[in-house]
Amino acid sequence: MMQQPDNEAELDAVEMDGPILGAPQSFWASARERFRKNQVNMIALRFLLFLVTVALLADFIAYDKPLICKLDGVVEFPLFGDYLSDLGLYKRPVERIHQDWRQAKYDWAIWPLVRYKANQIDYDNQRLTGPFAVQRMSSWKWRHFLGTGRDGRDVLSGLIHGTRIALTIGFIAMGIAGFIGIILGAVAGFWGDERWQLHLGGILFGILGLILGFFYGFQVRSYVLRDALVNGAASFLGQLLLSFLIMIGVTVLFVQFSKLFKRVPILGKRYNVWVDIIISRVIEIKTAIPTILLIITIMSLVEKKNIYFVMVIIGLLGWMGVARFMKGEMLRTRSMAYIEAARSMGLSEVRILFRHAIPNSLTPVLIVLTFGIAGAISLEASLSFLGIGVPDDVVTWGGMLREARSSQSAWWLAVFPGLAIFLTVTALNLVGEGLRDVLDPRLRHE
Amino acid sequence: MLKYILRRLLVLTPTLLAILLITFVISRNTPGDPVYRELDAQFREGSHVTPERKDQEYARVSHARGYDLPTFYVSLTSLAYPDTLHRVLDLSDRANLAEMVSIYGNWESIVSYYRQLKKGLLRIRSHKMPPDQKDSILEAQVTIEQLLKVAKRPEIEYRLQILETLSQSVPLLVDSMQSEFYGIQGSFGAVLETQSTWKNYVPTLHFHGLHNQFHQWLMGVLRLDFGRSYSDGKRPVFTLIKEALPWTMVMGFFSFVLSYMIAIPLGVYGVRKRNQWQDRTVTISLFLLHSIPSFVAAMLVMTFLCNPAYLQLFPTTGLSSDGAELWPLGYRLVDYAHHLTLPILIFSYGGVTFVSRQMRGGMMESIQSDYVRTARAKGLSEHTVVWRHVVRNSILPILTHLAGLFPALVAGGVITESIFSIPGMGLLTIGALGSYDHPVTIGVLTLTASATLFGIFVTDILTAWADPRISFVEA
Repeated sequence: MMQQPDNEAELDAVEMDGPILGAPQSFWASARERFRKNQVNMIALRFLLFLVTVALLADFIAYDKPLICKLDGVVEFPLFGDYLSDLGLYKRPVERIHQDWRQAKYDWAIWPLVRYKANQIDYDNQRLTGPFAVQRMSSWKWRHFLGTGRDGRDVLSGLIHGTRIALTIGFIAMGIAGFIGIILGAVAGFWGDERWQLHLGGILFGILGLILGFFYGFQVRSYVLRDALVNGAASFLGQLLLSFLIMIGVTVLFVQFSKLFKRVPILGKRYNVWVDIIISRVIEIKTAIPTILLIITIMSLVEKKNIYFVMVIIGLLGWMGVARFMKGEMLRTRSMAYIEAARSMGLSEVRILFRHAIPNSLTPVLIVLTFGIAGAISLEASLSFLGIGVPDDVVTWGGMLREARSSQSAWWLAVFPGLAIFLTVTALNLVGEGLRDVLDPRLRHE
Repeated sequence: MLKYILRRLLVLTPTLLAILLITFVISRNTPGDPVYRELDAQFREGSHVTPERKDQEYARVSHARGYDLPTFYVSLTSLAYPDTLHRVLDLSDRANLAEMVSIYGNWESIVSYYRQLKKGLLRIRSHKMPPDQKDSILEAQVTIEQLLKVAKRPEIEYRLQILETLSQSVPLLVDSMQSEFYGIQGSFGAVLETQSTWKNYVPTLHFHGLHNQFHQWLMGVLRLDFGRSYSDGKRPVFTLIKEALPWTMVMGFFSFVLSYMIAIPLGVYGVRKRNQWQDRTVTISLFLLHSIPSFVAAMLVMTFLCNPAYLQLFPTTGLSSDGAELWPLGYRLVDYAHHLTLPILIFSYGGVTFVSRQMRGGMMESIQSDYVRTARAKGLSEHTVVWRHVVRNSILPILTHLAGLFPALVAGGVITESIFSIPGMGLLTIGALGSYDHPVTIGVLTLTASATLFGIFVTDILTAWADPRISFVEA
């Protein structure tokens, strides 16, 4: 366990703080125990697990084809067939391509709970069919349990598939934001404004390296990046990462090179690098610009709507909270005895930061990350509600609520997606609060 | 104190410049040709205007808006990149030339290839078109137009191939255009032959002086000139903002007063009943309220309270009822209030939860402090202790959140105003976004960000002034 104290002094401290009952408990075990004690935390956590399950199994719960069926004397797996043919591993026989799965005469069939895909249009029940209204269908098995939208899309299926999108957005956006925030916050907190000194040559070469790195990473590759953007978010993110690596690589190369000049009189003089001031300014700049406005404006630059792009943007703009929190953590960590010990052993500062300081300060960041996921989900929902960034054929909770705007008598379009967003955000916030109670070192003395 | 203010100002300036730089970068990357969008409709669609006249008008707008200037004070480009590219007026030509330079790296050959293309285009546009060959000639024209927009080798070669086939198969083109087509092909061949890709990996720095787009834009912003809207009669963006701002301010003012009026007593109540069921109920309800995104709440409220099918207590959208302009002032105010009640409520509940949580947290801390114990020891009643001592000391940190109020106003407004159709800043932004009216979006963004920064500055000064414990020395 990475949380296990590294030296004797720490071990003593833990034993003094914690309950002195038998064997010393690990930090995680005691945290877990305290988290479990709170009934509300556990309900929220279970609900989140339920959502994750729904997101993972969305196709098995709501789909327009049977899971397994016997058709014309042959046992078939239409859903898996779809999966495989998406992967290019399976070619559906010609007579099955235009198969009407709904009308087919099965010997037997196992259907998903909801027999509609999220963006599938039911032509018999268009124009807002309510959940309790008379629905035109052959059997109750085909009912739209939560009604339909204007063009006959099933609300329940939309909710189920929307879960997948909401959670993906939350996790990917916060993954990106967490990565950036943890590193920048840790650097700002660990080195502050005085602790990182560089000789003048290193600073000058570093700036030069940054400029050249920007040139080789972004200027030279600007068209590669643009083409990647057209190809989709994954390739864009990859190319963006590559660009950053080039930029950082060039900078590091230059700084290393400058070490040759350490003994030159003026260039060798050491100065503080104001890491904290620089990063804090960046955070301040970002705080001054309302996030939703900035995202909306950036989205207006993209001509083709893409959901992954929304995730990346939310992530790239959402790291400030994590950074601020991490900085606070790092301010505590950096004065710990084991950091001093590592330093006295002659480990390099970078190694101490990445191998010791960051891993030992990570746990409380879970709190901000959890709140962050809730925020990202709610932000994405507002964006889709405004019709920004999410393509029209992707069914999201926010998008369904958007439909309620133009069809006011359809209460089910407002209530169910609204409830889904509310419950998810609440559960995440509750888990966040619970984590704060057990993990935040600042609260432990109370 | 003066020293502190000056120091803060000193820190503020680079931040403001950075924000302006960010918005500038965004504004220069908006899709579409801004000069073209700014042209009057007659120059865009009118067929009675000659091409020369159109070009003149394009050049005029382009010059007036500074699009014929270099982008920034300095530019870091590759050796291959010509420092005169900004003089190419047509922005799509400029972009494509830049991309070609980044691929082939030989500016001179690329320019002569481009000249050939333009010449060919002129020729074929004035070409006579007998009905039987019209389609082929039009196809040739479209192909040349496309050639002006592509830079990659396969895409160019594919179109050159089409031109070649056309020039051989269409009798009219064989006579008149073949030399042009060969010219185009030849010049592209020259581009390929003289490729100097290495030049793209050699960085060069150019200095452009004050005569650049950013400087011009910055000076404009400092004079509150954010350009003109594309639509809406080409009115100045600042005028549009000035018209929208009062409504956002009205909403903001009322919801601000409302949320503090509810939140502070709630926070105090929670502290007085701390760890009892009342406190817990308040905390939990606030927590739940905090988890409802405002647009969800707005949609629910609209569905159930503004809907003839359920309860129609409030009007759905807009500021006033039809024909309200003729009513006496009193009626009109009531009508406004009727329309604004729900938006303001939706707008404020987020603030209520936030402020009262802050309030409760701050008071919980100060209620354990020494001066409270002293006050109790003096025999003051709990009421006096809480209101006179604890609240007073806990309100200051809450006031610092005022700085965040303005961005919160606009951000919250984006959603609330667009749902309830209140013509404030938020609706302005969303509307501009829908019609791709980029100057408006960017004007709002720039103004909001700058105002927020200014708000942070003022709050810092006020806090420092009100709380002598904050050191003036440390900035």
